[in-house]
Amino acid sequence: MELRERSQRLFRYLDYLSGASDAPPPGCPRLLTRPAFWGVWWGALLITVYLFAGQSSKFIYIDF
Amino acid sequence: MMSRRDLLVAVAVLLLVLAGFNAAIARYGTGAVARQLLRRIDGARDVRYVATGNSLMAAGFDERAFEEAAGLPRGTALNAALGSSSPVEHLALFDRASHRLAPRAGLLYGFFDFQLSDPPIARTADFVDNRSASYYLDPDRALREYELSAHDRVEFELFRRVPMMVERGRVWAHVEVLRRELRDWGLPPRAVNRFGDLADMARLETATPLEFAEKCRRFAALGEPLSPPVSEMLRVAERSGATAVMVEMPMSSRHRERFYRLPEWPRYRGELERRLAADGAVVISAADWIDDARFSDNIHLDAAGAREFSEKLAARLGGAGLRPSASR
Repeated sequence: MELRERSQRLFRYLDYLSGASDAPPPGCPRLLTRPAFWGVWWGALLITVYLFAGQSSKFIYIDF
Repeated sequence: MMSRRDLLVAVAVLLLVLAGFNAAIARYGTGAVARQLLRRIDGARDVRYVATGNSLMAAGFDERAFEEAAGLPRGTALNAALGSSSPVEHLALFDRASHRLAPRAGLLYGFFDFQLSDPPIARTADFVDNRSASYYLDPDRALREYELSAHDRVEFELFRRVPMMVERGRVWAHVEVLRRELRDWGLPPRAVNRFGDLADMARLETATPLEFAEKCRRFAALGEPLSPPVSEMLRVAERSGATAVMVEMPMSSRHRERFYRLPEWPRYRGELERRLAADGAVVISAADWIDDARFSDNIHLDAAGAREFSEKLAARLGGAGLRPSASR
């Protein structure tokens, strides 16, 4: 597969996962179209935001 | 476009994921330093001296050295100090420990600079490190003692019920450690101690002598320099029959030269001592007890410094007739 095709395929997946596109990319696994997947995906995104949200805190101590 | 039914399923799964994550965080939170300290306090019995305060006392009070120097049985001195904490947490810790005290015990409260005077102003954003202990130590008291905005009060009430929010600082600390490792990748190792980067500890001091002098003047002019949680701590000590000993913690010569030599400092300290004496507390100044070589950074003692400080403190208490006998 050419690099261009690969990147187009990647962008289609990213569009789908980010909600920019409602239609799943061609050949998308059925798992990714199920509502339960979206619940897990949104949870993973929220937890990622949560983990990195502390960067605005002024840490001095690392003793907790 | 997702159907309403699919959306409900997705939201239900999302809530399950978050509930599971919260349960995992709650379990992880049992290892927090403050919770470990609570278990130590709850397991203590017949405590003759309980030391509390922030990281200066946490690092500076060597229980064993103190007990040996004071001739006390093992396990009768308790270091209940918590790093990166404020007098509101100290009050809650001492109150908890006050139920474990032997008759006529002693409170050793370590302070530096304006710790006894600073008003307990906070925002919920401040409760991210050991100060998150306020969410579970005694949240009702924390709400009474802290000066919080209405918005922060509502947040506090909500956050204290959600482990993800209570323990968020502990989780973030791992990301911060990773960030520091990446920052220092390929560079010579930085000097660190148990609390973090030594260079960061300078941020705990007042920025300039001018600002320090201004704070001295302001607090001395108020004529009522005690912070409300400190006053409440003295009342708890009185109720539990304990003698309150306020210990001005050892400071490096640089800190003393820079700040304690200012003419405003003795005036502020005089006013502070007058107020503390009126409330029945004894003040011991240990600011110049320890040589600079026994500090692990600009304000914290190392292990040898902690031993020396604890031995000297025991001797000073004995000299002042404040040491309980081992047989009591």
